[in-house]
Amino acid sequence: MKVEISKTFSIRAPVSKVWGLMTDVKKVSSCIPGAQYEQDMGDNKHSVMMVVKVGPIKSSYRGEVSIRSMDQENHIIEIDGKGTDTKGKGGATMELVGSITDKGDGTSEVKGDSTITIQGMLAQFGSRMIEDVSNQLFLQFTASLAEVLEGNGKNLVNDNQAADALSGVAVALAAIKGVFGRLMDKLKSKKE
Amino acid sequence: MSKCKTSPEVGGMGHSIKRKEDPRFIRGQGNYVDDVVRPGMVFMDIVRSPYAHAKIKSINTEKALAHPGVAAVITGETLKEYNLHMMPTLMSDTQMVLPIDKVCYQAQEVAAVVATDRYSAADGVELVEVEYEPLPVVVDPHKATEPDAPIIRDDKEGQENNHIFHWEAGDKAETEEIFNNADVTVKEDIYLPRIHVASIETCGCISEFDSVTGRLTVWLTTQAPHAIRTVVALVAGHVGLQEDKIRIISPDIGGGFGGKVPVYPGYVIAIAASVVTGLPIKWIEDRRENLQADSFARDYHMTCEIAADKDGTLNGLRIKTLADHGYADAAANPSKFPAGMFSICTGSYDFKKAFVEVDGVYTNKPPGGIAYRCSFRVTEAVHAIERMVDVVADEIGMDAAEIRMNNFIPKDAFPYQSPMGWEYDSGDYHGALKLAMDKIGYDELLKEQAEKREKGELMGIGISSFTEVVGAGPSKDFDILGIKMFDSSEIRIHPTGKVIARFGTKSQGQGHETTYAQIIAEELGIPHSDVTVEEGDTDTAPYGLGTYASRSTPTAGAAAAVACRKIKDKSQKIAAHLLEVAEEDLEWEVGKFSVKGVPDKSVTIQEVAFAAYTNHPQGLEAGLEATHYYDPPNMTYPFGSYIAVVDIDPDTGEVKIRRFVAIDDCGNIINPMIVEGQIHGGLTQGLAPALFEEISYDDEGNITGGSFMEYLVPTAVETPHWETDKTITPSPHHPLGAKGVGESPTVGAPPAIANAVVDALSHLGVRHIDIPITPEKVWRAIHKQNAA
Repeated sequence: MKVEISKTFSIRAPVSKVWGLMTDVKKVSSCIPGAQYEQDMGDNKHSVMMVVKVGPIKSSYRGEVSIRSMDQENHIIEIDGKGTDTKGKGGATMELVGSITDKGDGTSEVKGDSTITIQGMLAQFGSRMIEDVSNQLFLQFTASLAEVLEGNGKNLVNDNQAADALSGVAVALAAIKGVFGRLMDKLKSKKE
Repeated sequence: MSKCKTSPEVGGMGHSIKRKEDPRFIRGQGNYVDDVVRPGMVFMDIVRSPYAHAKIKSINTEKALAHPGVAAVITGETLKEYNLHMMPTLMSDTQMVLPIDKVCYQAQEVAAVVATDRYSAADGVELVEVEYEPLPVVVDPHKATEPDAPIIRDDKEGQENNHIFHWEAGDKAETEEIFNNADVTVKEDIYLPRIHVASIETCGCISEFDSVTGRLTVWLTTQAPHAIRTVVALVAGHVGLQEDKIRIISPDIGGGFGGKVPVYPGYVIAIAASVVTGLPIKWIEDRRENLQADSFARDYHMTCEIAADKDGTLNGLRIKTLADHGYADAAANPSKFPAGMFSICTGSYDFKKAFVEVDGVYTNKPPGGIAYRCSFRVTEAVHAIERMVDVVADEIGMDAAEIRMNNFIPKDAFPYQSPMGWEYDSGDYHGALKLAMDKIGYDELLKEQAEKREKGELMGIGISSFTEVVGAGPSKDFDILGIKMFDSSEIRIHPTGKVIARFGTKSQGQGHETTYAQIIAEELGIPHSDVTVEEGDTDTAPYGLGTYASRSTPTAGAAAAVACRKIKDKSQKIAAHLLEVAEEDLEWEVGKFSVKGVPDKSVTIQEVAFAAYTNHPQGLEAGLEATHYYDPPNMTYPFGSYIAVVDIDPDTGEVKIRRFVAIDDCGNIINPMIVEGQIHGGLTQGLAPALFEEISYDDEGNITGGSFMEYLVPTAVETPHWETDKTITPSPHHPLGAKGVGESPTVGAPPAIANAVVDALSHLGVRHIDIPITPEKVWRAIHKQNAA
């Protein structure tokens, strides 16, 4: 299955600082829940482990992240990722285009468009939850990022916390909330 | 049949005898494969591929083998040592049992774990580590035929594309001629989606090899135990499994519907593992494995055309089909019919000429496809023709009933030679449709529909006047792997007049224990309650090709009747001896012979049976038994007319079936209650693909309909009230005048429902919607048209 995810968020930090972090795979991985940086393989390629739990399925992906292009001037980065489940239960690939723009007043806007292709168990059983899981991952990611950037990087190397797999219960609850939230929105809009 | 020949106590044909098998079923005392427990039995579970197409780089079994409960891990390499890693399909294609270097569909078997208990086997499966390298996936059969498509079967020598077979029937040139000169031509792309039988019992087996006697016994979920025995002997003869050493036992079966005809890799792995280990091995699929890896049905992409006169006379029919067979052609058709009986597609109508062609292609999906409650692609054919007749009616503005009535093969034209070469044995299509229209109040419904349209309400009426071709089949045309498609009955009358009767078929819920007993009761006058019916054990039952394609009554049922007549002939000799008269002085009335003109002087069949063992005439062989292998002279052609009335919610697209009238004609009826039960079940299995069921795949070959969460099997909640009735047009060639009924409703119902939905939307310009007709499809059809 293919999932397309587009996200935009603002962060209270200058563009140069955000760009510096976002182009450093090691630092960025530390902000992604369930991700663990493994090693720099040279040639802009990095090996990363990622643990994701969707419903009853816990998948560990061993992946390779490579920076396809980096536009220093306009602050646009293109990243390719591919990973296979360490137990042979499937795999995923990702193409991401990220850009950072200065919003003045010391904040930066980060925009990310990604296409994720998933094969295997996760695609079969998680299809209805993947969007909610991604949202949840994203929220945790931006929170970590904000903490790192706005909190002067004091948690930058706190790998333990960040590397914990996203808890299944937390995702399930968040997903349920997401579904109910949308239902409530629909009900509200119907009333109006 | 208006009157029964026998009393209710004897219970011959026409009596609604309660099913003999039901007391054990409703008490939970059936004996299914998973109920069988053997001493020292171990358990098998299967590692399956997450990829639809991938190279296998490595399989690491170390961690699995370290698990305390795991006894063995079997891979393709293990089986290759015995040359059992590949197996033939029923269509003479080949199929992996376990892969050596690549997988070709998601959920394909990759390795098997044998463990001391079921839980350890599952744990072992989790511990097997397989490294894959994904390959490009071909999901869409149209794309599979493109020149640059990845070749899926690169293992087959000379296979340079994904094409499997081309098959055609009818006259191409003459059909084209009709199209060139036609007043009206219509064309529609119709897709019959991939569906699954979803029987309540999944597939599985217990394989037990006795290393002392060299005998293999397999308890197997199969509809065709004898054929399986022969296949096992052919596939595994080289490792010492000759046919006399193989015993297949098919115990109670919880629904087959064609899904339990093929040989699945799991069976072969379990058999190989038990031969190697000498242990009884149980393998039972779980629900997901069953839905995802077992053989599917349908998956026909049909481009259909009809040429007609302005007045609606149907002249020419042309259908071009792309058949998606998945990774291997593992269909279960008779050998000479790679597209089954698809050429029955001229249906109930008197077409002048027709031409059909079918191209089978490989895709990265599980192999198939089987005849799901359908006599080999008849469902596809009937859906195409019944939808297309409505398309013609829509084009020329004619009523759907009228166009059918005007084009039906007339009653006096039987036996009728179809332009495709079938000889329809009998039919009265006008009678069945007329009865359906009267029963549902067709004219009133048309008025109501017109009124509702005025008010913007959506209501539709759909007709399906189908013809089936069942009972495969005459040996001159029909075989599976060379074995002719006869079937058999062996009847033994014990000295006390009780009977054991064995058959080459295998009931999966059809009620054979009851109906076969009724045939014997009808023929010999022995009460049905005195008859024990046995099937499914290849050591005891006579050879037969099994139960599918509505063939049991047309073949084994006929065999029973003929065997009874052999017994009756011998009985007459014994009766003459007992009554001390000449044979020709005797006359038969149900259950006894009496001297012509002296009705008091008679002997019962039970007295004859006793004499056959105690006082048989000199020169006559003792005992009273007969076996018959029945080779049908022709297929039988059950038919019917169904009318569905639907109401559609324009806001949600939800389809509600308000009424459904089903008129079936299956010839003479053995047990009316069982026939009605078959029709109710079949209609529900026709409703299923019409509105709910589809095994769908995404572009990467991931199954998106692989559990009961997504694969919507209708329950009692979704099922409407079925109104059934019948006409009776006996088969002229079947010894009992019967035709077979199990599949008619599954075949006939989907187009009736689809036609009703399209009819409800036809004034909006909608001419066709592919099944399953989900609320989304209806909503989109309504809104697309509104926007236009």
